[in-house]
Amino acid sequence: MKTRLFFPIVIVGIIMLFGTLYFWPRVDHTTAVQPEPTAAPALNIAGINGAALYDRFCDRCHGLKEATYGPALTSLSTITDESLRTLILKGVPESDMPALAEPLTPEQLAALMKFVKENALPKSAAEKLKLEIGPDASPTQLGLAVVEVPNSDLIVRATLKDDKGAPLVKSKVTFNKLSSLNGRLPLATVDTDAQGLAVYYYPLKPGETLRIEASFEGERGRQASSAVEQAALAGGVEPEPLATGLLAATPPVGLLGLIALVVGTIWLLYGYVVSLLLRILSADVAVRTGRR
Amino acid sequence: MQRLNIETKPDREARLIGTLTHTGRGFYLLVAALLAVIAVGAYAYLRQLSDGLVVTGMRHYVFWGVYMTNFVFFIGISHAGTLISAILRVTGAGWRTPITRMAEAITVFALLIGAPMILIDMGRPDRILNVLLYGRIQSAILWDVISITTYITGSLLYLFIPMIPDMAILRDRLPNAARWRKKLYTVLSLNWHGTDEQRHALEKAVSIMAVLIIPIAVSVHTVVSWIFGMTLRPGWNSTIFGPYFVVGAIFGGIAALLLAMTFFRKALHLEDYITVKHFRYLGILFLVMDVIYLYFTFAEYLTSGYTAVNPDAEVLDALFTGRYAVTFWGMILIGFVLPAFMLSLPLLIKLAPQPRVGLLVRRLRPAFAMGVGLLLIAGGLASALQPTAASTLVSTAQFTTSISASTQTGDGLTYLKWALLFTVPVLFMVFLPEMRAHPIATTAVAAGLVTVAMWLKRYLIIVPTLENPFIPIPLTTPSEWAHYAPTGVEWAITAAAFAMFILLYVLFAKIFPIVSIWETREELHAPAPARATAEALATDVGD
Repeated sequence: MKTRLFFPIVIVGIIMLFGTLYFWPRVDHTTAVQPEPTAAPALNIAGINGAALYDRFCDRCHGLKEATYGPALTSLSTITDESLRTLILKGVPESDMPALAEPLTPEQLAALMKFVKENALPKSAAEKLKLEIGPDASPTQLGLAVVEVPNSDLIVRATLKDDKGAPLVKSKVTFNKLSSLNGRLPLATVDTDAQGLAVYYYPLKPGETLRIEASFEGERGRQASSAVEQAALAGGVEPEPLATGLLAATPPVGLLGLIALVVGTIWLLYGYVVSLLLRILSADVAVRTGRR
Repeated sequence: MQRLNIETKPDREARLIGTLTHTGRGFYLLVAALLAVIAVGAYAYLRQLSDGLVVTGMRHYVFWGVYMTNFVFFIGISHAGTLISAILRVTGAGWRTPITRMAEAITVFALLIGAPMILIDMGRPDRILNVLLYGRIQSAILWDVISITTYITGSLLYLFIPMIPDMAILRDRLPNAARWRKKLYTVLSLNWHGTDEQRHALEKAVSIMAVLIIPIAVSVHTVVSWIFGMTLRPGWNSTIFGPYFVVGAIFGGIAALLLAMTFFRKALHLEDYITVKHFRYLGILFLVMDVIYLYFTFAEYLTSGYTAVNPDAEVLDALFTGRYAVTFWGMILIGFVLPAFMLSLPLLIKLAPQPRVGLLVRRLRPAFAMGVGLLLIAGGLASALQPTAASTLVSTAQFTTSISASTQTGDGLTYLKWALLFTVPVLFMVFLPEMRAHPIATTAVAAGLVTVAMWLKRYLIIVPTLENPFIPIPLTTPSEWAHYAPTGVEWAITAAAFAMFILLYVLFAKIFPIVSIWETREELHAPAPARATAEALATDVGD
């Protein structure tokens, strides 16, 4: 009896041990750090104004739009609330980023987090621009033309005008290269001149097809506009296929043949085996009728 | 009627046939428990279907998790049938007969559970047809579809064909059985009456299938490995992966078979059929595969360690000293090395019949027990003194280069985990005398450890690699996106998969004899028929 119980217990014990080891709570996940309920009395340095708090604690290293010393604020655009809270409260060990748990009250923390979230997101930047443009802004027109010059770069000319046809001066026009799936690769941002003209030179290679977009993001009282143009330069060498050999778009005949041969042989043999089974089935009928 | 001419051991055979019709309370309890687990899993899957894969821990960096682990694990388990049954049949090993059916059934059910894991892993399973419509034949994924389909068909045939004479026996021996049962046996027996012509056709079919199924099975797990090996990722892009996975699959398959043997031997009282001999023979095969697998593992990591490409080194760091260190070393030490020692005990007994070491160990037992206790207390104290100080921080690594480097090696919890890890070898020493006295239980425990370890091994192949891509994960990526931890939904579905596997297996054993009746009769008689099969193979395949 004793030995009978003994081994199951050992088995269960070892399994439990193994399980415990594996399912032990993972420690290196960022977990939420709740501010302690009895936080140190607020020093009330900057009230609960998120912007003021940011200015007081963060802006010195993380300038609002671009990095000054630490990473840019916009690099936090996808951070989760938990991670952000941990980041603010605990800082980053072995770096110059300090922990802010001490001086912050829960309300201040919430305000600061709200401010960071709002200002880090590119989406909210676009929304801010929209606010700046205003609801009753007038439409703008963006004309785009590409001029091919033999043995020279492609000239891309964008002309920005308001709704009455007057040129917009000193406005920012961005040139983007469009991928085949409409992905945007920013090439340059150019200010328009007195004629509302922004020029960009693109080194088009022989054999290359370019889809270029000029876009005006809008400014106070002016709506955004954009235009797409296409250019292609004939000649040159054929672009190399992305993949060759076994990875080519059309499968190599040899590979197809090999797979067909191997798989076909196996399935033919299966067929033969099934025919053997049918022989078992039919052979028996003959014997039984013979007996009768 | 030839079959009645053979001298049989009527009581053991009657007991075997009796297991089909006599159903105890334990059976219903087991089925009810399994159905409950499956129900929870089904609910979890419905949630995943309606809410999408966001309910899992998978995100765009780690896009394969426990589902793919299960897939590779079950496909690996499926090799049990092939190896034991086909290889032993081809080589004419007479002792195989009581365990072949069990092995073949494992193959079929493991495939039936493993293959749908791909579907469960998909966010849009309704688009499964696109794999065939737009798939590229150069892709290892499509090879997998082809080879697994072929394997399922082949293993079903290979399970069914040697069962035909048994179906005839049951058709004749169970006149009072339920109607559906009688009908089933009649249809599946293919009107078998054991005439010479039928016998000849059957032996031919079995011989062909036995030879055919071996390369198919090898190809299946090779193709599974190629899904990883032909992808340019650290830790995957390795030429050794084909044979490495095949050996791992056979290794894991034997473990599953040993567990099934232990279970059915106890549950259905098959002690007459499955004896210590079977455990010892299979155990030695198991030991050999264990050692080969350890060798492959060593070779793989050593080669990888010399590449000195940064992401490769990061994967190794995560395994050896980092985030997965405890799991990794637990797997190696408890899952592979410890079973090797346990399995070599029968060989050691031959070398030293007087268990002098055992006596020494027994005398030193209190000392061992104290050592274990001290280790655990030290670990517990360490974890209590350093509670969670280091554990909740955002890792520095987020702002340096790699996220995977984040570990808390100085953490008290880690000490405790390591302490627990080293407890196991000590326990092994303590229980050495018992292990020598109970070879079957020892083999079964080793098989259980290996089964868990092989599952973990697949997890450790998939996840750390995906967490360390060649193009570094952007520094600001939230840790929850860059790291993977399975969610409750995934665990529920995984548990349901295992429950489903066991349920199918148990139900199969209720409808079909889990030990081949006609083959074990022949085994009793003489080893000749086994040799005859081998001879039939030599002559029949030729014509």
